[in-house]
Amino acid sequence: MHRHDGSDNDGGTNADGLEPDAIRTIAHLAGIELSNERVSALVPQVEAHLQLMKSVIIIDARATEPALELRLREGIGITHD
Amino acid sequence: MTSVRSDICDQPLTEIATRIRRREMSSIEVTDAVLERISALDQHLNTFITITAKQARRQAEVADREIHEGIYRGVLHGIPVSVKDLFWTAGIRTTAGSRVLANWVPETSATVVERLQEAGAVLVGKANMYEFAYGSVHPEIGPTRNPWDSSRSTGGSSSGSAAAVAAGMGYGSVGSDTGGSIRIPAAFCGIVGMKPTYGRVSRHGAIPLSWSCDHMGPMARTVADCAALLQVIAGHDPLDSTSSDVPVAAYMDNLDSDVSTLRIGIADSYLRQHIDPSALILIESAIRDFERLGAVVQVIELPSPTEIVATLVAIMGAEAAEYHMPTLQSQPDAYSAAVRTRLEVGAITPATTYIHAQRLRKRVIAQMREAMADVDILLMPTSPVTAPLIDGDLSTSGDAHPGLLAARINYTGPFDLTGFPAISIPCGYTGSGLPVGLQLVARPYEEQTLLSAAWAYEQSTSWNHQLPSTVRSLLTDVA
Repeated sequence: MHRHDGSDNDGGTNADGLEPDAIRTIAHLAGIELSNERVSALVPQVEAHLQLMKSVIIIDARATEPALELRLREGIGITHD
Repeated sequence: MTSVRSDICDQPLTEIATRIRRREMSSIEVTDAVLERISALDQHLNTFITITAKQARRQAEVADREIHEGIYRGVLHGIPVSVKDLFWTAGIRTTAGSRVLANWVPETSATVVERLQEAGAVLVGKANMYEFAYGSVHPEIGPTRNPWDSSRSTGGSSSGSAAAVAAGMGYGSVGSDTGGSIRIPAAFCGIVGMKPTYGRVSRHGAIPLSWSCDHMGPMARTVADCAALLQVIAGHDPLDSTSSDVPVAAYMDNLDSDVSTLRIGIADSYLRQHIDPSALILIESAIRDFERLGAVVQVIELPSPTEIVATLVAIMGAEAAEYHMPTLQSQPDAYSAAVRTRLEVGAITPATTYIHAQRLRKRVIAQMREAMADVDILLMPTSPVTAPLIDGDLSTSGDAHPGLLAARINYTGPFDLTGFPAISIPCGYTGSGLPVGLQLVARPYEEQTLLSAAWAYEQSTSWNHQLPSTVRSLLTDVA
């Protein structure tokens, strides 16, 4: 797969050295309240996850568009390959 | 090597079906034998979350009465089977291997369960599984033990289904597969497991892990038995918005299709990366077996499994977190530490990453289609490793590092992302007696090609005739 540098599409997060407060804030926005203890436990897992996600977003996929999935069939259904 | 299967519980589903149809044997006899086997082994292998003995006997009596009256519903009529405990079963608790749903009793059944019941199958139990099918077991429920070596994992998440089938506790089971959850335990337990095309089998009433990657499929000891189960559960379901209306083939009638012109693709990136050398020897031997059957094997290029699995993890993590959000908010402590961590981490996946992963998915599907333009099936290992020891395994360790889960599903996950059908069949045993799984993959809706190729290979081997060593010794102890 082709890659790009991800600079225009990295979701606004940085996997390198994410602060616990940032994790708590993001989780809060997603609907989850995390205690200090819980955030501390999550830091290494979040960093590993975001590192993995970074390996996804640097792959160039701008030539495809998932909205095709929403094309309606006969006014009620959704198409599937 | 272990003794050959000879007990009634160890016979193929299709063999028992013939005897029930001819009234040489009753469903209640078969059901009682299976329940007795469950009674002897379940405490050692932790295979079932719920055993439905009373209901099973009632269903068997009804089957016998119908067959006596000349009403024969088909090959599953009177046959004892199990389902993974994530399928809704009306009046029977459905826990999904969790404490969140420890006492939940659905009012209706999943489409898969309804179809099994309409076919006259006898439900003997709800099989153990990873908590919500997400990477590890809940410690209060505990892991299923591998019938080939009880110190080893079955893999998962359809762990109880695989062990039950391998150990003769039912003639088949239905599991679910989002990253490899049918195929990996099938490989580790020496049985056949199939993940059909996305949309081929209804997801209605199956507690989701990741709605766009979840597949339901059969697990059995032989390819023909798998075909018999798929025949019943496949087909359009208006209750599942992603269900396909592509016609279902007559799988069992066409198992012996000619495979002498089969074109098989192998890709280095799916064959030799991080693979246990003892497993690789068996996979290479299987390639030669297919060549002896007349197949032409050619090397092809496939997109990188590592990148595809990272894409799958992005989608799976976000979709799982979205589904679990209400209970993650209201009762987070009911989840095991590892699953809670996976869900919380998935919840903070950036929306842009999820959308980007869906873009990549479209692209990978196109690349896979192109790569398979000149071959009928792909061949590769189901897993780069054999069944690991339970102690310290990912399924019990509580370690939720996302890289570990991704590595485990490197060979299976790509076909959950693309939705292509895939089957795992036994291809031999390592020197330490552990089964190895061979994975075949076909183009969308070409389940028949997969089943015919797997059946032809199976006919040329005797891997599915072996009785797991732990089962043999446990049964000897009981006797």
